Amino acid sequence: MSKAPLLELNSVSKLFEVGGGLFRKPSYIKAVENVSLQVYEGEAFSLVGESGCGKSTLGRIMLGLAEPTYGEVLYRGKSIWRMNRAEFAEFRRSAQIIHQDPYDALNPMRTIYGSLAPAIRRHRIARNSRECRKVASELLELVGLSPPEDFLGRYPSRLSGGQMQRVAIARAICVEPSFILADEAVSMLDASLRINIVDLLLSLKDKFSMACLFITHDFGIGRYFTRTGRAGVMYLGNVVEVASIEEILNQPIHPYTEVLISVTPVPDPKLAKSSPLPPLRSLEIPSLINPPPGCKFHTRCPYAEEMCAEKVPELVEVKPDHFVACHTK
Amino acid sequence: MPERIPPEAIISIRGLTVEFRVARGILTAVDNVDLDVYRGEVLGLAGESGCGKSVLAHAILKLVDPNGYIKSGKILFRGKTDVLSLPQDELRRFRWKNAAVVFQGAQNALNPVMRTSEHFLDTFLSHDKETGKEEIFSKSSNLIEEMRLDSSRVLRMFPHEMSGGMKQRTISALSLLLDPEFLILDEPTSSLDVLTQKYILKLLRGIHEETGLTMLFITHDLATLAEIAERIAIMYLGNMVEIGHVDEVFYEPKHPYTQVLLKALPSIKGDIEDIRPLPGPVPDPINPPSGCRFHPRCPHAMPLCQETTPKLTRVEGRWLVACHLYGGEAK
Repeated sequence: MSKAPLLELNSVSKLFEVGGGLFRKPSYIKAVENVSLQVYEGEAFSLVGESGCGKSTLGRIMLGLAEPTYGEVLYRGKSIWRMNRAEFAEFRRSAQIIHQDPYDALNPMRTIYGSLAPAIRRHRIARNSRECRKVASELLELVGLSPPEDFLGRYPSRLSGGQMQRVAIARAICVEPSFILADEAVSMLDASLRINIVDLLLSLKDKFSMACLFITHDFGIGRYFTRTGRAGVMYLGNVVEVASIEEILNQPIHPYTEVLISVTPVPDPKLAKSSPLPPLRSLEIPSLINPPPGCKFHTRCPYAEEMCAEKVPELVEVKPDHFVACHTK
Repeated sequence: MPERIPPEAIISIRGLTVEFRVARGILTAVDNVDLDVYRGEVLGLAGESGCGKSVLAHAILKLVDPNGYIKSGKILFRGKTDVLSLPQDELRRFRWKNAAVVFQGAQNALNPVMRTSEHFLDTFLSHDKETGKEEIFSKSSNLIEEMRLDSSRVLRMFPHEMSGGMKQRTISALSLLLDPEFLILDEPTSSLDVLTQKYILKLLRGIHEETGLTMLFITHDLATLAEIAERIAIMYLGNMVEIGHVDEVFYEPKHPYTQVLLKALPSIKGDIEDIRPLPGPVPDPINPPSGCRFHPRCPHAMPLCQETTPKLTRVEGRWLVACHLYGGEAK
């Protein structure tokens, strides 16, 4: 890809302090470690990993909601933590998030209009309340909640999970962002409803040419979202593989990616019943406080060599546009 | 009408209706449902959230939330005993000894201040006071080992010392402690990551193959059922719409709801272009549509579908479908 990235992470790490006390030294959890990643204008990117792999922390860093302990976050080439107030505010407007749980994301004491209006007013999209109401109606129409008059005055408790997620999407896009982070945005919904919400996200992404990073633990929905775009795989704070989703699914290179794909459930009885357990050396995920030295996957990896316990593998391009962090490949 | 109970049915549900009192009125969570669970099979029960699958499964043990009640129907155990009319002490024995259940979010079912060993002891002694501690512990160890856990370690642990996968396996071992003939698993793997999920499914499948334990596996995730179930039953808004062998239902679904449900599943296999969202909005469960409850969303709806509720009808062998397209007569 020759275009300049919209959002860029340069060797980003995030440490969290745990268990410190007055007389006790704290330990540190490396939730994200040395991650470099680019998101391009208008791109659909899926970030896949199990719970606790640091994918949500990475998302928060990309949005400027968490400051990385080391490394840099660049938005259109500019480091977001060196921006002045006005620039930072503008960045925060352009980068929006859709949370996993819409029940938590919307204030239960406010009507839908009450949730949308402050965002519309704050970013000066509407000048008066009549205009604001009009904008809110158009937004609801856009996310498939029609007629909007039926929804504007309702409280979140009177909406279904899917409808609430639509409101959350409306609120995220109302400030015309150039980047949307969807953090497990459909995993709380029924499997049968996920496609509807992903379809909505995709159509809005194209309509407003936004870049969209889709964080998920499920390769199936990640593939549906990304189509022919790129995907990254995370394990214990590291990005271990980045390539087009089709290439990752059909020719995975990192042993962890291979394992994750092999255990992804498929709705096909013959395939599902015949797929064996992956040849992992251990089922337990190592602790983040004391992660294994070298490659963090080496304690479970079926192909581990001596070197893997000693040296941390770098993410390198092993094929055109296919990046892998593994010594054995 | 005499009831047709297949000889090998361990549980036969007949005409079961469960209602709930809610703020806006009466919600019929399970509406006149018939279902047989055959001895030695793994039956998968699937449907979207709110379709009544959990309510149905819990009713088998006569467990209903305080605002709900079983309005009518029978739960026949081995074709004879009606679970719903058992006296309290016999019902207690039936739960755990004949039929055990692993609830959704079972990891949270363990008492946080009790060690695993106490959970096993407590459960055993509350049903059988004669057996000695030694024997109980050796049996518990065996079950825990069968779940590929280190029993000497796990028995001494408190719940907070265990990972989600360990707790789930411990609970599964506990549910087998009193040798039930029938095990109900309600979303047992939904909160686990995919790797642990795969592992537990293989373990359960292994136990089933070794001991022939009958299982009813409830989940909203059809892909999980593809892996573990032999037969599956699909529910929609409190009604049973299709029951058949897992291969039949996945490869040639008959009911239009099953068809669109399977089409809406994203997967790492197959053509993305074939995936379609479910048509239309989800109806209000308190005022469900008349006739066939799926008719407002059904691509094949006919005038008849609005008027009469189709009955589960045999299309082939043990394959049952409730749809007027297959000649389902009025209920």
